[in-house]
Amino acid sequence: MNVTDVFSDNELMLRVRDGDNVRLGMLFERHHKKLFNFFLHTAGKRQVAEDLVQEVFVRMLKYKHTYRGESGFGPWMYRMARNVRSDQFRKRGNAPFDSANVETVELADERPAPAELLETDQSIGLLRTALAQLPIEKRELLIMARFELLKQDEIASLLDCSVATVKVRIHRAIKELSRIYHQITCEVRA
Amino acid sequence: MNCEEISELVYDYLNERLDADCAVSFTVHMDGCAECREQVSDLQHTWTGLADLPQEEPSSELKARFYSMLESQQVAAKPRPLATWFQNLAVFPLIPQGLAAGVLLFAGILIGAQIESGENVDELRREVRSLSQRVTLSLLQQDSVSERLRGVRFSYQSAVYDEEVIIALIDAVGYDKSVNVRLAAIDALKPYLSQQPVLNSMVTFLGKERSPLVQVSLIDALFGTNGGETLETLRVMSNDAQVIDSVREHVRTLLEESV
Repeated sequence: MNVTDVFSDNELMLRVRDGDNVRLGMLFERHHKKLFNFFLHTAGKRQVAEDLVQEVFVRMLKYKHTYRGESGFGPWMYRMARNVRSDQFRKRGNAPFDSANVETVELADERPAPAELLETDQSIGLLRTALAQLPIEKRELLIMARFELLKQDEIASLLDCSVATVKVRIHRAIKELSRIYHQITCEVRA
Repeated sequence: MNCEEISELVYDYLNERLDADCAVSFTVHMDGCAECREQVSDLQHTWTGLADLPQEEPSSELKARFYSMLESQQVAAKPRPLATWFQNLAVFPLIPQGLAAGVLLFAGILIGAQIESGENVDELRREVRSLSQRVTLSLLQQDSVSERLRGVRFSYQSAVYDEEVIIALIDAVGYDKSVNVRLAAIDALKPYLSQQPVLNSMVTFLGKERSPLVQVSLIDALFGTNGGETLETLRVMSNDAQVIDSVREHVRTLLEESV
């Protein structure tokens, strides 16, 4: 038995809904880093990503009465996260983070690239750039699937489609990412 | 299996979730189809690369902002009986002064009765407990070993079963890098070993623990509980070549004594 099984996310959120707001602290501890990385890859800037994580938890409290727990805590939280991100972009009049502002990806280890970059570092950098050029729907799908933020059936619930459709969409997203990655790699090496 | 079917199964293949029959058909097709082989190899490279993207850490400010928000929400959610009472009084501005005095007197009696019944004292106790819980949880998450040890010591102030503190202590036993913190957390959890989730977690960690000191501490803590799973884990340990001799000997002695 795993420690995380002691109290499931669903149980904790049901308690929050019933007035035990302190339990939100445990949900924050479990999910804030994943949410931060989700936003970092789909919203671009560290500060913006942190603001959005905070806003998700503010909304969890505000809309806790809407939580039913039927499709699980994960899809509910990420549905809220996507709404928060959309609202943020709308409020600021910005387009969703995409290839147009790929240079704004701001990562903690960002530093002037040394001439003798290790090949793996370079590959990771190129992959990040390729990922940032992917349309936001595909990018978030890949992030959710690859970083295991949600299981396949939870992604299906979030996107309101079947698991088979999720697999097809992820396959297409990997294909496109792979194509962009190769293109960038060729440009860099040319 | 044809190329189209391959493309439908690629995602499961990348995640190693193909069932045995599909995996065989998949491999047979790949062996004979250079185009699919190249495409799947490309996708695999990208998929593996994605997993290598480092996970970033948010700043500590995010945590501080969250807990500050949570605290202010809790304060805001608390009923403010006195303020409400005055607001209600303002609704009736024409109440004669004598009647108002009577209402005040009655309210005084009610408040007195409430204090006597201990509700306010209970409220104060709850707040102190909540404060000590937050301090404990915060200390247990610090980078410094001495701070985390302080967190474990602070947990003793919680006289009742506090789920969040217990889970944080269980986490410390299972995942803290410091042997000292793990040992201290085991001691702090001893009074709660009668709780099944706590007991189960400790048994699980015993099977994974590699430090002989922590192993012995866990064994001693768990031995008195006499659970079937505990005994089974101890029996496995007594024959596990990866467990050092002195620990194995300790387990055998305890098992022999228990017979």
